[in-house]
Amino acid sequence: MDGVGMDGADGVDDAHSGNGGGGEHEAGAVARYHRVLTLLPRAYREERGEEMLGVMLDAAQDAGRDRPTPAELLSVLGLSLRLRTGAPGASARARSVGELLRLVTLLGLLLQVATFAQGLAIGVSDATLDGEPLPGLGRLTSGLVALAVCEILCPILALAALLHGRHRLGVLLAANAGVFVPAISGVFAADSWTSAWSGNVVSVLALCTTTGIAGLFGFRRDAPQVARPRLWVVAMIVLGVVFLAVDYANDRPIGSIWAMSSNVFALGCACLAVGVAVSRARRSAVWPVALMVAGVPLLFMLPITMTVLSYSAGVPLLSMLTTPGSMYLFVGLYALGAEVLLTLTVLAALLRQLRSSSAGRQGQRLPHKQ
Amino acid sequence: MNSSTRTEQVFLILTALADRPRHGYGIVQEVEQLSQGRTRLKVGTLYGALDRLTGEGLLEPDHDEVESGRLRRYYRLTERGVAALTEDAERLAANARAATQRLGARGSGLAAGPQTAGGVA
Repeated sequence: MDGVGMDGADGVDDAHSGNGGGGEHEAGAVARYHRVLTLLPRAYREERGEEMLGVMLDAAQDAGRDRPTPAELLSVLGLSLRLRTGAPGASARARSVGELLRLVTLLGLLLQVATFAQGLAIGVSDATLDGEPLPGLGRLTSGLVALAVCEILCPILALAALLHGRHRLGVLLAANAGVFVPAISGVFAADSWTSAWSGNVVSVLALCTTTGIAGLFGFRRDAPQVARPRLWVVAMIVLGVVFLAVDYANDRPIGSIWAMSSNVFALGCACLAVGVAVSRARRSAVWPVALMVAGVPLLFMLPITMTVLSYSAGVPLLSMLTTPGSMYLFVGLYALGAEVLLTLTVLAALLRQLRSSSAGRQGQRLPHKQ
Repeated sequence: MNSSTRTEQVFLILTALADRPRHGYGIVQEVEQLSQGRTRLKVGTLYGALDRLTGEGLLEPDHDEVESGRLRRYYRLTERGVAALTEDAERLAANARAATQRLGARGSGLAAGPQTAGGVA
């Protein structure tokens, strides 16, 4: 294939003077279309910018236009987003970004199942406060259970869809669980002690949003198949069953810290996440970053729960850990601790990568000794 | 991407390249003509498809030319691309034949059947 010399910046030849005549006019059009192409990654622009500019200018000339249309702008923006998340033609770094987004989506689905399993267990276990039924909860249990079942089905079906290549359906379901959260939270709104639930609501809504956005950009139509799908299925089943069983079987006087054995599993999950991040960090920063990003929504739980308990329920700080709603404080604390450790792991992994890449560059500069 | 997941846009791009190599804007014009104006490819969509099809080995760059100061890169179908287009064309033709036969039988059935409501008493 014959190459053509690229004289201009970013591989785009500035000398698009056409056949003469109206040179200034065409130069203006070239500049406007050139600006549109700056949306694309630099490497792709250097490789394809010249021919893409030619296509746009040809189309504009035939249509009698001298500036890009909104549709053209959106199409280039769409291509840019796909290239930056690992579409065919993307750089290795962009492919890593795509892998990261897919991991964040899948991890978000696991977190959703764990969270919703707890909610379902609350609905079916007739939770008590010091042995007495919670006010108003008994009458609404059946409706709450129905909503909780619909809620937990969303991430389960989302994972199934993503693993079977039904990416659009999977992303829709991944975000859709957030619809049920406000409905379920309305059940608890009347009781002041359950205002600590608001931390959980905000956290879960943020989780559904993060999962949906990550899935939207990570699971494009041409995204690669998920590696080791059975592992994700097993992880989801284990998380769902464990949290559901523990919360259901637990005869909970909710005021007791030690009755919250699901907290133990939440702590175990946080430790497992950090362990996976540390073990994977030696090869790549993708897993540590994905775990860190997926866990960020859980950080909302701690400050909101503390604020609500302090200002709405008037609970002193030192008494918060033994009050109804303390479960969310514990989860928030675990999430905070895990995020701190994950952040340190990510920084260490990135530092290691920077050192190895700079060492590699130095090795290339040194002359070979004979 | 297998035949069942190739979109109409991709099918039209492959068809546009069936007879001879074309450059990007030539593909856009040919696709619009083939679809009788229904499909107008935008540059982002076109190059996303070209990248995907090149990655799958169905297309490859042919040669470059400079016309009126504009670079034009020509693309051509590979042998795999020809095979894929043939498979798609046969599948769509079979579907179209089945639909045409069913519609023909439906039309015959109405002509031979009893008078429906609204007929003359």
